[in-house]
Amino acid sequence: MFDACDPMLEARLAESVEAMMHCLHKPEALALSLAEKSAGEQVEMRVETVTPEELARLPLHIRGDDQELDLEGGVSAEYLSLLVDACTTGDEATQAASRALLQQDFAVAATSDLQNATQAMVQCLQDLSGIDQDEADEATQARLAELCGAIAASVIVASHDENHRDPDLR
Amino acid sequence: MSVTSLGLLQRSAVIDFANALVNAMLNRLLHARDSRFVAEAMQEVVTTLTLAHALGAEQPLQLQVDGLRLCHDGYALEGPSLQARSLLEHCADRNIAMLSFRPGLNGAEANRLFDLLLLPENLEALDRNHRDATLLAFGIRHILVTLQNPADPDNRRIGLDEQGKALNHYQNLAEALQQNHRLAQGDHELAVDQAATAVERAVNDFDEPSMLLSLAMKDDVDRFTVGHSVRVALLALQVARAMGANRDQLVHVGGAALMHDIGKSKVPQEILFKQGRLTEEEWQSMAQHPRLGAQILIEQHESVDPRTIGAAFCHHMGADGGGYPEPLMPTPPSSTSRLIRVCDVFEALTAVRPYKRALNPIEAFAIMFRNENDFDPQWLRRFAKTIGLFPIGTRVQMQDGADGLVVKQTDDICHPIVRLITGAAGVELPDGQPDIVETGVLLEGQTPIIAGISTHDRYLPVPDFDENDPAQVGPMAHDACLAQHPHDHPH
Repeated sequence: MFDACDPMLEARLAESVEAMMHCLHKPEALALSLAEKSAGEQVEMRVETVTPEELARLPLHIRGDDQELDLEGGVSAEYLSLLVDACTTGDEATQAASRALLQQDFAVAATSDLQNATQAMVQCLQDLSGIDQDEADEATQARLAELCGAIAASVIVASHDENHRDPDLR
Repeated sequence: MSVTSLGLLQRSAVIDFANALVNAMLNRLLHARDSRFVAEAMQEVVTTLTLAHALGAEQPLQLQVDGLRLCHDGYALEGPSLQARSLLEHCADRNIAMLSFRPGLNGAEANRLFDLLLLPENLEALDRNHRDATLLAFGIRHILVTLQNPADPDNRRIGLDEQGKALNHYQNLAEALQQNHRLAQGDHELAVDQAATAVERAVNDFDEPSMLLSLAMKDDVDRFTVGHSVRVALLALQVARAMGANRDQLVHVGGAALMHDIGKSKVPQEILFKQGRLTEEEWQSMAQHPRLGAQILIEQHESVDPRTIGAAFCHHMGADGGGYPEPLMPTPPSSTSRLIRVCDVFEALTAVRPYKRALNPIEAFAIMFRNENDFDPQWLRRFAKTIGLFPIGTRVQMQDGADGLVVKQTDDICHPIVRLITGAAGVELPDGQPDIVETGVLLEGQTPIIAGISTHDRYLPVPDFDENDPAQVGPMAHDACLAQHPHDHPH
């Protein structure tokens, strides 16, 4: 029975209001309650904890020596790698598009002339021989890496093609 | 309860309602009218409206449409406005100045409002001569539509303030991305040019980086993948710009960051927005999104930069190529992808998700450095130096109890420039007292120091920073890995 003189009434009202405030001031709590209502499943909240000591040390982590950063670095190798991936994992249209790009941008195809590519690689190695690795010309190193990548890509594409060829035509 | 806290509660509830309305519009654009997702979005509109009314928001609850913004009671609702471009444009096409929502609204009725707003054949249905009959015919009894009328005192326009331009850019980026997600979902050709143009315009107009950045730091913005990607793009642009990237590089980095999650358009919505933990099978599906994203973009290769495809593929890879997916020919990610990975994780940590609270930027940095092997350490440091421990827009409390807002970074990441909102102990700022202070610098016998960070839900005390003892750096928990357990990884 409702008793307006109940000394605990005000305390309980205050608790209810506080719970409501808590819910509205924490969007994740609101999202949680809405999610429970709509999905009917338990949502597990993750709470990451950070200690004051970790916060205090942040400047020491951040203020290290800065190396020169280059926004252009690694684009070519990354592109080659993901095209090979798409060529072997994508659907038909993706495979066709990635094959065309491999051929166009890297001269990679199932029928690539691996002998010529290998000779070019040997030439690169000769250019680099006798030079300290740290002093080696960056452009030559990049060219060597690309050649190696292209040869690997050709092998992967060729073997993938072989595996997927109509058995009657093998 | 004080009047102030009641006002805060109501405002928070109105923001939730406006977000739900914007959500509903985006879901109508993305899904079939009678799909489950639309039904849930409409129900959220009803739920948040009910909550707002229960907390004392006025009846009917009025949302004004003012150019780039949704407004309530004359105040712009910045967070919900960020992705409200479609809603605002459709309202503008129909000369709608205000929508008012009464208690008793149900989901079906809300859905019919969107029929009126979205379907081209209903373009004239809400004009002065037809409005009342149309609303009656559509069975819309709990939503009032006020048309633009300069004589109407309720229809006051709110001029663009200094944030207007930044808001416009944010909406352009969000709109371009929403469009591309819709197209990708339907297996249509992407509108890559639209995204590139949005990035280019933002770059050209990037003389106000702090405005864009403060938008990216808002904590009441959407919970959509799209909003996440826009904020990642803004963060990446900020870092690239700070390191002196030229215009072309900025456009490439911004475009790559904007589209990095395009593969999520192919992940089933029930998995993408699942509130609970993912099953192993669901996780496998989710983990395909980088590969799917790259494949979508490869098919559009004539108009897509390789960096964009790379970022879509590699943004969950560590600097050593670890993480996922695992390509047949493993290669370390490019610099652009490494930068975007840092921005991606930082944004995920600092945003509210249904399964986690929003971390303060300084906490996010602590967690990222705790797991720094997951990132390229050079890019992580560069990112932290650019953004600062107290990013622009952070609300802080000074040691003397004054409240302030970070307005500018300095060369010292611990000591930004702060605009004081109140004087000491929270009282009104005395006349003649400068409101702009450089923290950590002696001023009139006192050195202003940041004591803590205030957000809408909590207060985080800031400890004294260790600045002179490098020996203390070392035995931190570098063995942990953010992506170690797939179920724990942020979507």
